[in-house]
Amino acid sequence: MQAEPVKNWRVMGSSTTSGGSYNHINVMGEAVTTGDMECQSLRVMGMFQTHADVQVGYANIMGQMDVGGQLRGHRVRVMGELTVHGDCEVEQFLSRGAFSIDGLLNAGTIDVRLYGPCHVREIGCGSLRVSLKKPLFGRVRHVLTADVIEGDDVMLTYTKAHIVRGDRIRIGLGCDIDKIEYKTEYACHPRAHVASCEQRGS
Amino acid sequence: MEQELISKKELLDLMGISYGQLYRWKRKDLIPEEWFIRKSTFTGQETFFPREKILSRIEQIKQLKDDLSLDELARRFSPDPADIALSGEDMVNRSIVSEQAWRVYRLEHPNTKVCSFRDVVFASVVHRALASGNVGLDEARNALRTLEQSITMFSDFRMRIACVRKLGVSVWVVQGTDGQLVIDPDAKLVFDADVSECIEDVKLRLM
Repeated sequence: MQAEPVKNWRVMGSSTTSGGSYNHINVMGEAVTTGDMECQSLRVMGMFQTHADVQVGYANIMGQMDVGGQLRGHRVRVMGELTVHGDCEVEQFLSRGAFSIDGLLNAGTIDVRLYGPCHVREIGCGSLRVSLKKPLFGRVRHVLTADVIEGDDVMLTYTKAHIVRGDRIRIGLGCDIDKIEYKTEYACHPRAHVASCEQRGS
Repeated sequence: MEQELISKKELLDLMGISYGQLYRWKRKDLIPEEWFIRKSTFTGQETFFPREKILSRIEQIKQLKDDLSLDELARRFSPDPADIALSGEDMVNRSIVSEQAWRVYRLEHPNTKVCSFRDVVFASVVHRALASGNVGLDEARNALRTLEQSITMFSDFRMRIACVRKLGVSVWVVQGTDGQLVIDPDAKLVFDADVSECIEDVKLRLM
C-alpha cells in the first residue's frame, strides 16, 4: 500500500513541475506538468496543461485543462474547457462546458449539457444523457459530435454521430445519426434525422 | 501469431453482457487495454478482441464477481507483483512448478529456500518451458538467467520470452509484449511465453 500523499500544490502565478503525487491541486494561474501526475482532488480556475497521464480523484475544471495523455479518475466536472489527447476513463463525467477527447470517453454516467462544442471520438458508458443548455440569449446551438456511441441508457439531443449502439436509446431534437442499433427500447423525436435503425438480439 | 478475433457485438451477444458492464470492467482494468483491437470494417471502425483470451476472462469475471469486489478482481488479473513468499515445496504442491523445474531452479540458486513473487514467476516460466517438451534442462537454466538479467529493462513484467534454435544452438530472447519477433527462416522458434500470462496463472493457483 502506498503512503497517503500529503503534498498540496497551489498555483497562483505560473509554475511547472515534472508531476508526482499530490493530495490537492489548485490552479488559479497557469501550470504545466511534464510527467505523470496523481492527485486526490484537482481544481482548475486558470489554465492547466499536462503532457502526460493524469490520475485524479475528483476534478473540477472551471478554467482550461489540456491533458496530453490519459485522464483517469473518479469524478470529473467540466465547467470550462477540457481537452484530452488520449482516453478519458472516469466513473462520473459531468459537463457544463466544452470538451474535446481524441480517444475513448469511458464513464459510468455521463451528463452533458451543451454549453460549448463537444467532440469525442468514441463514447462507451453505462448511461449517457445529452441535453441543451438553458436558453439565455442568442441562438447558438452547440452539438456533440462523436464517431461511435455505445451505452446501456442513451438519451441524446443535438448530437451528430456515426453509430449509436445500446440497450435503451432515446433520440431527441436536433440529432443527426447515421445508424442506430438498439436492443430493447427505442424512441425518436419526429424532427431528428436518423438514417437507419435496427433492433438486434433482444 | 495470428489469433482468432471476436467482434464486440458478437462478444456481448455470446456472453450476455451489456456495453455498460464491458466498459466498466475495462475502467477497472479487468480487461487490458491491449485486447481492444481497432480495425476498420465496411461499417466504419469496430473493436475486436482476441477470442479465447476475452471469452475465458469474461467467464472468470462473471463467476467471481459475486464473491469478490471488482478491485480485488483487478488485483488478481493484473500482472503487477503480489506480495507473497513461497518455499519450493509449496510451489510444487500447488503445481506452479514441477519437481524437475524446481531442481533446475535450485541448480542456479542453490541456497534459495523462500522465493519472492519475482522468483516464483521465473520458476513458473522455467516450468512452462520444460513442460512444453521442446526445451532442454540446460536451456531452461539459461532462460532463468536471461529473465533475471532482463528484468531491469521490463520492471513491470510486461514481457515475452522466446527461445530460438538454429543448427542446435539456442538463444533466448526477451521482448516487450507488443513487439513483433521475426526470426531467420532457417531458425526455429522452440518456445514462446508471455510472462504476464504466467503471472496470471500463478495468481490463480495461489488464490
